Amino acid sequence: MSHDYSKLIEELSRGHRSRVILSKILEVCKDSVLDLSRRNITIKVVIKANCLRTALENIYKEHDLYLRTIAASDERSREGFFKLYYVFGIDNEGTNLVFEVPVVEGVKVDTISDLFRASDWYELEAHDLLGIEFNGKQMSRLVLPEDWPENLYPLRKEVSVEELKKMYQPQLVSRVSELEVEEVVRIPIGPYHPALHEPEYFELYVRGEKVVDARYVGFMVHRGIEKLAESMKYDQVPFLAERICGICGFVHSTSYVQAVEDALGIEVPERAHFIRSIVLEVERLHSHLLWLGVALHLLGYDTGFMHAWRIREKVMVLAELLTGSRKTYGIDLVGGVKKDIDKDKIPKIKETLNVLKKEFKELVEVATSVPQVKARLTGTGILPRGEARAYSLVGPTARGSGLARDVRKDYTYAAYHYVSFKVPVYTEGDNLARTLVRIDEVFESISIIEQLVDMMPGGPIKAERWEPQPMRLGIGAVEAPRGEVIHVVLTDLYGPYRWRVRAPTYQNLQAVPIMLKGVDLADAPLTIASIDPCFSCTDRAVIINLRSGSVKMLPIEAISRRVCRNG
Amino acid sequence: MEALTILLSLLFTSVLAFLPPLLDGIERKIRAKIQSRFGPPTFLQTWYDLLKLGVKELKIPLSGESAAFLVMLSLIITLIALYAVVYVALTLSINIDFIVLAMLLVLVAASHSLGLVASATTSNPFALIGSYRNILLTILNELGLVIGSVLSILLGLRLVTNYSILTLATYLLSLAVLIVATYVSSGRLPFDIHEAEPELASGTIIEFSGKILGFYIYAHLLARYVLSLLVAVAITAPFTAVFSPISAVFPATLLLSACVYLAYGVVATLLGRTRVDIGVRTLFMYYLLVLIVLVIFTWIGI
Amino acid sequence: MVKFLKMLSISVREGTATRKYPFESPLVTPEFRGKIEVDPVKCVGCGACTRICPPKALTIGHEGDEIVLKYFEGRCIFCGMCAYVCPQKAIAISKEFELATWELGDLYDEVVHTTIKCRICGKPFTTVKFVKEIEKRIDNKVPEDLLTVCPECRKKLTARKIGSKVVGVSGE
Repeated sequence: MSHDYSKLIEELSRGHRSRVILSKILEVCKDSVLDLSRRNITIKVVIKANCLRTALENIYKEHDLYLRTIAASDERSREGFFKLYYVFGIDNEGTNLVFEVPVVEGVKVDTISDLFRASDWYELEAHDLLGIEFNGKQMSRLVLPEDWPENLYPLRKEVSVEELKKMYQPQLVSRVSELEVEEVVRIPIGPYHPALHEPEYFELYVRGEKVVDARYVGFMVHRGIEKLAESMKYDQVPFLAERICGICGFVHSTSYVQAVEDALGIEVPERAHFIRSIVLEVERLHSHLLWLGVALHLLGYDTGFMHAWRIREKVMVLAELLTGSRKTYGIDLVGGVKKDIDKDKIPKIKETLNVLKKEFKELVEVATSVPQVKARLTGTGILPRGEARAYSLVGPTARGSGLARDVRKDYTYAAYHYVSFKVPVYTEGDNLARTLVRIDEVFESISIIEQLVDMMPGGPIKAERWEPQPMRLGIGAVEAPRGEVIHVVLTDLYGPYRWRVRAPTYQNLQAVPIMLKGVDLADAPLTIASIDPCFSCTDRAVIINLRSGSVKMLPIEAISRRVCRNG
Repeated sequence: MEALTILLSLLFTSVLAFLPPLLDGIERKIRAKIQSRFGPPTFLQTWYDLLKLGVKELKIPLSGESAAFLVMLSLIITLIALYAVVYVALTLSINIDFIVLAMLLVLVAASHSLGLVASATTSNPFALIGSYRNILLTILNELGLVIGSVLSILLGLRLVTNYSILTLATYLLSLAVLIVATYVSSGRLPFDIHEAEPELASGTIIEFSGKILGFYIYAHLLARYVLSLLVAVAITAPFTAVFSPISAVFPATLLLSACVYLAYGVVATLLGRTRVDIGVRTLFMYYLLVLIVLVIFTWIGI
Repeated sequence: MVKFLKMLSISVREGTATRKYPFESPLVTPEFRGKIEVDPVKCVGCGACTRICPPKALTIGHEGDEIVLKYFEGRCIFCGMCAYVCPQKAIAISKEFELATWELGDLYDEVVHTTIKCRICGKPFTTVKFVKEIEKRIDNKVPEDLLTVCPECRKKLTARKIGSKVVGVSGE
């Protein structure tokens, strides 16, 4: 293609930043760009695999560009190749920049993990689940267990859900290893530990009391949700999405329906937007209160934990009153919501919020005055701003390190453009900064709900009708309590063709080893908890361990090299 | 008279030996109330727990026989220490038997060290983390315990006969030291770091289970009570009647010991867990400061 | 510094926040979604609920000469979509959630419908009530001869009608 691109760029750009970035891409890759288009806030560049790396090398230094997710999809039956969708965001302008890269089966793609460190896990995942090969990096298993059979790629269309279900057999994973006790002791935390809420495995290499290195092995709760949704209908998937996470389900179902609405251009009535925003903020309240309780518990201050959850109970009752359930709200549908907020509930909302404001302020005052809490939060688990940017971190983890990134402001959705609120940012980057970000967000959420409730418009709560079209790309992003949740949907006639879920913990976990270096062992659990990890959100595949037949157990007793003997 | 005091001490010791788990049950209920919840269904819950542990099978980890033996030894020594402190409380007067007081301190220190050695014999590297923290803290703390108990009891008794502002000030200061030292020794928040962190594989206690764990917990609660009674003795020392061989304030001392125990429990509820380096540093600074002031007071007094 | 002592006054003010659950009733708001109840009178056996049910707790199928709508409480996620889509508003959402039982059979609820047989091939194809409901709802009446014909036979009939119009072949 050798057109004059400047007119096209002018047409497609949404502002100065996208113009600059698009020009840079086209400067180096004009012959490999197969298509350029824009819809709403998403600019799509269809580019050949051989020029992707060159294009990104030219723009990766742009400071407001960050990698949000990479979705890999098997479109061989429709178009003849695999597709990789690289979704970037241009902050401050609120533009999505999507690179659609067709990949012929068997051809390797150049890795970009040295340019955008956040892409490391996405490339490994694409390899695990679809068999796409990458040049220039070491491939290893990430989301599938180590003894998963070769050449069985679960997300390829020829592998059916029934086939995968047949392979299910629970087994334990183990590694019996020798410990070097002289210099460095390796302390495994997980995967099945009575103190953990979800299976996770952190290896902390300690010298004395200081952590020198850390390693994370996860994906033990991989349940195959993305594959399952491909056999479901549009209005059934929100209920599946809600169960991705045990705390933040509503953000996933809202993100999904927003992605479908974006793909098909569905007009959602204003009242539905308001209801969704109110429920999203209620969810943020309960999640932050939960986190505060857990953080105080990790510091040993159990009284604070109990009181934080006592306050949280009021939010749970409010959620049940508004939606019908304490956690799995079940009100999202494509095109709107299915439950209205009646007028007589509004006084109850306001009353709960007032009580909440008072009690939460009291709790924060008391908790931060406990000497141990302050002393242990300050100066531990530091995450420098440069690292936060390099890893494309999101949510309070990034905002505690000085990056003012919030989907509600940058890529605004639902009813957030009607309300005014601050995005709290702290620059120290330690555990205390992240705590304060979350505390401030609670007060902001309360103010947002009050504003929304006051200006709620009338009208229907769901779009009358909408038509599904095949193979449209939609992106839905929502600011969850933990960070940005982004869903990428490729539509089909009755349900999604491909659904890609990226939860914030997926992005944030990659930075935990950096935060843990140099931290005292006693502060390690708190540092891990300060990113507010939600492993269920992160791991979305199936616990399948089979064919190789090797039974591996991970007993903590094995580490002590002794065997219990009956006395 | 001598035989009577010994008999009375034995009698009270055997009764008071059953008290610590009951006090622990009350402490749990109080903690629950502060945390806005119900807590255990009865005050006797800790006794039920100990009895339940007592009927479980005996399992000793391979290198744990020495630890189990040391736990039992520590329990016996703590019981003897209880007798010693009851005797001191019973005969508290200006003619106090110094030998018994000295014996008491030796016994308390011995039970602590036995506990430390017991926890250090484990081969579990995670438990060792907790043991080392405990050793560090206890070594530092014994200093405060000895200075505090000796000074506060002696000065408290001296206040009965020659009262002076300086003696009062020194008495109060040493009482403060004793209170802090016994609090740290009781292994409550913020100083329960001997159990390492909740997310890691725990500290010393994880090595025990069943009967041994029951005895360990009972010995621990008993040691806490012994120290609370010691504090009560130090507090009531200035009020003891001058002449009778059996101290007239003994009932008050007993009551006060329960109050001190529960007061420590309430304080523990309101604080978080300290980190080992911060805790040791704070404690060290505190003792150093107090030591300097005490030296100054002594110099002024002389 | 000693602000943390305020915690004591907070606990005194709040009292006990927990409920002794099995001995006290659970805290459930009026909006709570529990298990569903299908009204056997209103239900016509159309199967709309079974098509939307995400975990497939509601299933419908032929059992001999009857069509049975089965509701398995064990799989239900209490989303309420069945009540939302039912054209007859036959599904009510109750507040019951204490459903644990020792007998698996207790968790199954059924609504049984009698079927209507196809006048051509004799196979039962839909429920009597569904046919009556369709009759009621459609203003210009469905031709009598098509109302009691199963989908297979109707395809054949329609094809013959078209064929007869185009080619002039006479048919039934």
